[in-house]
Amino acid sequence: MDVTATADELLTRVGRGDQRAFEELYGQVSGPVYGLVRRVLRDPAQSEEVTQEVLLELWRTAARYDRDRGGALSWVLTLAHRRAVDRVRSVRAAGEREERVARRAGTPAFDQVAEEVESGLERDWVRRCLGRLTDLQRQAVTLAYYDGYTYREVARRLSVPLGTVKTRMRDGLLRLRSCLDGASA
Amino acid sequence: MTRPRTLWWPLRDPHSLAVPYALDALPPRELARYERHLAHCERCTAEVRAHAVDTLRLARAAEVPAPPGLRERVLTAVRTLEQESAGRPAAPPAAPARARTGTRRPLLVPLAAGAAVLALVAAVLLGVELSRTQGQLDAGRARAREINHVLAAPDAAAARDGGLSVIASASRGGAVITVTDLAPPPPGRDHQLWLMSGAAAPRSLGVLPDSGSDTPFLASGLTASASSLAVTTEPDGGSQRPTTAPLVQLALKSVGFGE
Repeated sequence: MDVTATADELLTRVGRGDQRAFEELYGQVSGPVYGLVRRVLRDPAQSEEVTQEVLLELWRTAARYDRDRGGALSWVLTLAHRRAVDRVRSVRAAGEREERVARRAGTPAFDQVAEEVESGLERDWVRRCLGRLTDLQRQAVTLAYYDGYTYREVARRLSVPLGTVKTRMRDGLLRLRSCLDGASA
Repeated sequence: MTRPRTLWWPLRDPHSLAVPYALDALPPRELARYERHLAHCERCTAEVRAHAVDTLRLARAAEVPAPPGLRERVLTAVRTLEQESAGRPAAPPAAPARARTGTRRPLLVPLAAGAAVLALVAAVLLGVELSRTQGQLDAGRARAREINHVLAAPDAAAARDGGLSVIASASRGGAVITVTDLAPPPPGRDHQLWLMSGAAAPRSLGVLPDSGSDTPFLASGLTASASSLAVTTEPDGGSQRPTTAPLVQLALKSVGFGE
C-alpha cells in the first residue's frame, strides 16, 4: 500500500551502509533538520554548515540507531538540535557582534520563510497552541528550545527565579501537548 | 576519585531538570551531572522520554526546504566517509602520523592512508572523542580542519561525472576528490589523477592504489585557473605527464573554477 519506506526503515538500512537508503532518507529529513537548525541559528550560511555536519554524522553513526527506542526523525532532530544549540552558544560566547551580524542578515529571510510554512497543518497547530500558553510559559519554552538559551539564561532574561522558569517550561510543554492532542483528536 | 570535589557536588533538585534537559537547556556542567543522575533514575528517564513528543513537535514546526546545493554536497561527501560499526567507535586508523614540518604544504596532497584517515577525519570533524595517540590526533585534526574548511565553505559545490566526484570551494582554494567505479588497470599499469589548469602542464595529484575504489584526495592551494580533473592509465608508478587519453574527465567550471 505505502511504497514509501518510513524514516525508521531507511535509517536502519543506512546503518548497514546502504547509500540509496541514505539518499531517500535525505529527502525526508533534510527539511526538518535545516528548518530546526535555522530556527536556532538564524544565519543561513551557518545553518547550512551545521545541517551538513548533522547529516554526515547521521550517515556515520546510523548503526547506533535502535528502532525500539524511538523514531528516526526524533533521533535525527535531537542530534540536529544539540548541534545547533552548541553552535549558537559558541557564537554567542565568541562575541555579541557576530551574533548581531548573523541576526541582521538572517531575520528578513527567516520571516519570509515563516510565511511559507503556514500551510503545514501540524505546524500551524503548534504555532496556534504556543499562542495559548501564558506569555511566561511561551517565552520560557521558546527562548530555550528555539533560541538555545540555558534555563539559567532564560531566568535572567525574564527576570524570574530559576525554580519559576523550570516550572513554566514544564507547564508550557504540558499545555502545548494537551492543546495539540485535542487538535489532532 | 581524585577529581576536585566541587565538580561533583550533587544536583540540588535533579528531578526538576528533566524539562530543561529535554529542551537541551542545561549548561554543560549541569548536563554532565544530570546525565549521571539519569542513568539511575527511572522516573526521570520516563519523564524525559515523554517530553520527546513535545520537542519533536516543536522541531517539526520549524521545517523549511533545505538549500538546493546541499543535497549533492552531502551525498558526495557520504561516499568519502566510512561509517562506524554498531556498538563501537570507528576502528583505529592505520594511518601513520605524518611528519609535521614548518614548510608550506605541497600544492596537492593525496590522503596518504585513504579511508582510514577519512574515518578519523570524520570522527574528529564531527566532534566525536576517540582515544588515540596525540600524534594521530594532531595529524587527523589537521586534515579534518582542511576537509571541513572545504566542505563548510559557503561556496562549496559538488560535481560528478562517471567515477569522479569532487566537492570544491573556490574561495578556499580546496577540493575533496573521490575516484570510484573504475575498472582496475591492466597489469604493469596504474591509474593516475591529474589536475589540468588551462595551458599549464597537467599536475599529478597522485597514483591510485591498486586496491582501487573510494580513494579520497584532498587538494589544497587551488587557483582559479584549475580547469578539470582527469584520470589516465600510466606505466606502474605513474608518469611525469599524462601519456594516454583520459579514462574520465571532470570539468571544474560548475564548482567555481576554470575562469
